[in-house]
Amino acid sequence: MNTLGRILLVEDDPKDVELTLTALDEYHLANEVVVAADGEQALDYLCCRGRYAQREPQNPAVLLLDLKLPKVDGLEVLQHVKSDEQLKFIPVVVLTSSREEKDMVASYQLGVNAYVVKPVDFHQFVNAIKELGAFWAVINEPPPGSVRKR
Amino acid sequence: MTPSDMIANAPAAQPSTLRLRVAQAQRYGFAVVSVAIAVGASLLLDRFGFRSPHVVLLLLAVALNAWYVDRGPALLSLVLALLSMAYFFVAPRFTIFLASSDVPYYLNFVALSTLILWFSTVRRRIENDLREARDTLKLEVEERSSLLDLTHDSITVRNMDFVLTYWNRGAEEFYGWRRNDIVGRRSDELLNTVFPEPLEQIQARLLDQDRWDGELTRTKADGSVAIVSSRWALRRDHRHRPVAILETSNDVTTRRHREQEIQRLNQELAKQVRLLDQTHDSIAFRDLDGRITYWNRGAEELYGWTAAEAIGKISHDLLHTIFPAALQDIDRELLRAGVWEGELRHVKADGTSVVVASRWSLAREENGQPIVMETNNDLTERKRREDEVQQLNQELARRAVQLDSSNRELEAFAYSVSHDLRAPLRHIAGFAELLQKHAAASLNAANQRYLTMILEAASRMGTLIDDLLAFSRIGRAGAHESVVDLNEIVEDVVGEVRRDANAPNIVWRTDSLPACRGDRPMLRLAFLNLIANAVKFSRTRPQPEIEIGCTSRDGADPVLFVRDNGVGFDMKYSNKLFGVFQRLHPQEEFEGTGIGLATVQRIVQRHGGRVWAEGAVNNGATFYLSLPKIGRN
Repeated sequence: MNTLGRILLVEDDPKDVELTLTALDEYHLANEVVVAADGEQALDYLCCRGRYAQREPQNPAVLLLDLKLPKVDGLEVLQHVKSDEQLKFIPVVVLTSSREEKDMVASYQLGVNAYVVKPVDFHQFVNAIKELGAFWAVINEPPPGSVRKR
Repeated sequence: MTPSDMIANAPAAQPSTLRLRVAQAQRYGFAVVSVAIAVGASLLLDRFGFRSPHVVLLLLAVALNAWYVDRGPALLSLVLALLSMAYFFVAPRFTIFLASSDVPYYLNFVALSTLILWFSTVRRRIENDLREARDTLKLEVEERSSLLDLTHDSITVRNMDFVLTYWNRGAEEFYGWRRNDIVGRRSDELLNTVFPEPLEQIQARLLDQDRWDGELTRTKADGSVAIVSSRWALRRDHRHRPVAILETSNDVTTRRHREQEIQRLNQELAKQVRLLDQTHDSIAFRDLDGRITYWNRGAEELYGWTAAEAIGKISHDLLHTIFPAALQDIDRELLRAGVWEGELRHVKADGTSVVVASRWSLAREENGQPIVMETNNDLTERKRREDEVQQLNQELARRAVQLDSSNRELEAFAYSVSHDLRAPLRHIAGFAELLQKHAAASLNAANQRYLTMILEAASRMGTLIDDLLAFSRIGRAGAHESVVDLNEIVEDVVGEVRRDANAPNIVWRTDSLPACRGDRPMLRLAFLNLIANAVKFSRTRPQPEIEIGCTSRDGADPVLFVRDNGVGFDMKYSNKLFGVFQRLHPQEEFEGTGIGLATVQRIVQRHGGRVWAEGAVNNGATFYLSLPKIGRN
């Protein structure tokens, strides 16, 4: 656990953000999480524009993406990321309440790397988030150009 | 030829005046010569001593002239005879001296001569009359005979033995035998006559009434058979004895054949008319002026006009026909192509209007008159049904749109439930969990329990939502039909259930099951629900038994069943078994959301099948589902 990837969490619901961060904190991953409240902010961050214009142009190690978002929804963000030469290597994990088959199919068609349904049960939820964070931010070797904290 | 014939024929045969004169001279010469011969003969006889021979001889000469020649020569011969008597035979002889005593003698001679002359004249007149009468008769007979030959009718005469004695030209021409060939032959044998009744009866009637008529069939000389209308008359002699039969006959063969043909045609026509009447189609004939000449029962039924009312009327006036084009154009098309078809609007007898598919075809009657045959089929009902179908289709389309939109709403609803209802639930559970974790030390037992209840409720609600979503997905998801082997599905499900239930003591009995057409994941879900139920409700038994089988394999749709020996149910609640969230057991006893059997029912119904259950409290339950067999749509 010598390196820690930056996580971009795209989630509009502050409660979910808090629960997710709580879960990640148990693995001490919460400090490297950037939260975007909607799809537009997420894209601003990824493309270093708007309020993120001044940030270092490095990609996050993983993108945790809710599907139901204001302004620009998750699938649109996913489509943008996967069709952008600069961004397409970013691993994207869809993290959603929906078990709808059509969302799942659409996500995989757009090239999502993982699709996780948030469990109602808190223990399961925490475990899921922890494992996700551990896998993508710690175990997985991110593509070149990603933020890695040593 | 007698001299009188010669004399009588002379003027006719030799009409010239000269010849007449010569004949006259001959006749008067004969008078002179005959008297001279008589005088000569008398003188000769007188010489031989015969007494007064001259009286007889001279009287004979006068008589000869009077009888055979004529009045003129006879008078001449009388005068010459008187002079000869006075000169040669009455004394004084060789002088012309008339003594008064001789006057009676001369008068006597003159009287005798005059008598002879008168007789002769009378005879000659009678003879002339007779001759004239004979000539007239002869002329008449000839005339009649030629008249008989003038007619084309056959006229024959035969005696009472049927032997032919006369045969006119008409008979020669008609029967083909010459007159000379048949005279003397029996007519009925010659002509091979077939009588309409026994010959004895005909003869009896003929003798009784002197006449008979009827139709006979005869064979001609050329072998052809003819039918003749024959009329017989009996001829009797002056003593009223029957002597001959006169027959006239004319040929009616053609007429009879034509009558038979007409009768046949009439029967044929009657048959066709009956046929035309049989049909429910309306059939009418009309002439080119539109006048109806035939009107079948179908037309009577369709329009309400009887044949008697319709025939003779102008069709288009009677029915107030509305044409799809100008009538002249239609008529032109009919005359050109011989047929026209189209839709017409007619008005019935009761005033209602009717739309018909009309077909006109041009035909010719036997007399060559063109007629139009019009067949009409009532389209009103069909039109009405078409309209109805169209309306129903529109309604259907409207409903389909409604259904589509409500389906979309349902989908949006389900999507929303899936996302938006689960999130707060997750938050309740998450924060309650965090509270429990962080404040556990400061909470008393009761508060701890409240938190546990909150967590349990949230968890249960999550399960309910998941099940409900799964249930709604059955209705929305498209089914992918294929041939499914139910044995495989059941084997798979039983394997899964046995692993999860951790109940090694269950006795499983599985029959061989048929294949069926359906959506494999859905059918698997249905069996999973049924078998999991069976396991769940029989787990309290010391020896749970579960049987999966099939009835009515042959012919009918297969009926599959899952039977257990579990707690069963009260049949009076059987109608509630398959409702959503309907449960017959408390949650503490048997967990569940009450959506499993509703799901089963929905799946089976989507496959066109039926599901039902039998059971008794504490006596097990059997769930049946019928599925359409393969090959049935």
